[in-house]
Amino acid sequence: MSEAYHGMIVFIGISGAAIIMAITGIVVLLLMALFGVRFIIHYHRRRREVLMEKQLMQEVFQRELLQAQLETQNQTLQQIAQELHDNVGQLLTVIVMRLNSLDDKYLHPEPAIEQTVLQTRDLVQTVIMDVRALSKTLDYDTVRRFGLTPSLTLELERIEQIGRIHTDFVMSGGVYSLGEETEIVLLRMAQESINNALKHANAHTITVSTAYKPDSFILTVADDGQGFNIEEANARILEKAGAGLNNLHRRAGLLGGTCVVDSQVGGGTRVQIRLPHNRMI
Amino acid sequence: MIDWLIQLSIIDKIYLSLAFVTTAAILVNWNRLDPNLKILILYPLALFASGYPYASKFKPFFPNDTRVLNQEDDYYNSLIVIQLNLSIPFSVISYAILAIFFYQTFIQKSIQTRVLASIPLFWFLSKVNTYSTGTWEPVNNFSTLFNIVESVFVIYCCFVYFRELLNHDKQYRPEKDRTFWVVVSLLFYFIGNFFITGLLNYAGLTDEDLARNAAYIGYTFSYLFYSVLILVCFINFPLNNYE
Repeated sequence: MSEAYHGMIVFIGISGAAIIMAITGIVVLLLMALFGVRFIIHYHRRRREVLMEKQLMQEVFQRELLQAQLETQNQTLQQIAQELHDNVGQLLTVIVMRLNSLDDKYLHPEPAIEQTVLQTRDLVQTVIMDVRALSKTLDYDTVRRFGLTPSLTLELERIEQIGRIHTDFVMSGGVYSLGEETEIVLLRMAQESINNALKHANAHTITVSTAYKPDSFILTVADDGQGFNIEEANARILEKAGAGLNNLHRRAGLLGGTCVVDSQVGGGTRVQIRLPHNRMI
Repeated sequence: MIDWLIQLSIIDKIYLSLAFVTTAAILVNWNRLDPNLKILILYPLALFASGYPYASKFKPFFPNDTRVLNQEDDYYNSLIVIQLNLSIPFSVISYAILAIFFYQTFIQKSIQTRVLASIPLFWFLSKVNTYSTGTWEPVNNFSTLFNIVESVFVIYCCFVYFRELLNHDKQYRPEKDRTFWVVVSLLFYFIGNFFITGLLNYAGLTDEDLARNAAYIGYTFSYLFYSVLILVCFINFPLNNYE
């Protein structure tokens, strides 16, 4: 074997090996990169899906929780309403009857006594009416049977009857059903807002308005009371902060809507709940 | 003492150089590497340690190779590294190193236990393979079955790692994790080895050129593995892999 021939074989051998190795290297490197990138894409997609699934599960859980809370609250309130109507209402009626019989028994009592009996009877009559009105607003059957607007009107009438605060109800747009559950939640939210105004605002007028727009429904509860500083209220530590505002935001969120509380010290408070139309729990 | 190094083929020399650079890269970046990656320094070190005694058994790559070894001839030499990789003692050591690497990489305790338990199991299999020489494979063949088993074990570990990643609860960025890229390279290295080792005995008997080419391809997988190790040691990932 000549030197040159041997050298050529060695050269061909090495270059052949180098070509094989280079091609393999490039192909494997590309496959590795492809695999790595594909896995990363798949990984991130899966993470997004898992996160969305988790979020959805949390949302469903929150809704179920809200529904359970709502059912418990409604049942309790209905029970109270029934008790007020059947028990307290009946007892008050009995008191009126007793007063009537007292009036009949003593035909000519002293004028002062007669006056007292009459006043007491009127007071009890008022209490009976208040109790009945209260029992109606507490009972979610009213919302079921008559809808949100009549229930709100009833609630405002009841507050008006107390005589301390003037109420207004403004409605715009063609009324449509928001769904039984949604309307019950909205009524409770309105009651919560009105209750806040009664307790803290020292207001003269409470205005409730409903706007039935084609794409959204807006419920607004506004008062002309002393208002409050929202930033301060938000900054309060959890123990001191009331659950009312948080509840409003949470419930609006679970209905798929938003709740905006706008207030200024001395400028009253305005709670606006906006729901997209056709969104129901 | 270093005569055997000089006698090596250029392919083996590149391999050993890459192994040496990998060792150096891990040492240089020691402080910023995760503990599981530090373990991998043992892999090239084990190769160097076992390479020297093995060099005394310097022989042609194929038993039927009649060509005489020539120190000046790179082409017809022994491809010592691939012979070393195919040897049972080195396979046991390398598997133990990789199992410890995976043990430190996995999060779930049950998987960690399984990986640790596989080390004595693998050692036991090596003993079975040694005592049953000639039973499943002819004595003059490479002990490829055992290496195929090693490849299967490591490939399984790689897939378990990927599955664990997908089931991970934390916010994690695999693209910014050195371990991820090392496992990807390990996966490809052992998938390549699986087929090449499986082909060697058959090709050695029927077509030596094919076997030799397969061996070269095996080297390419090794080069890529070491290159990835070197790269991940030096690349500075700007953000943490956990958000």
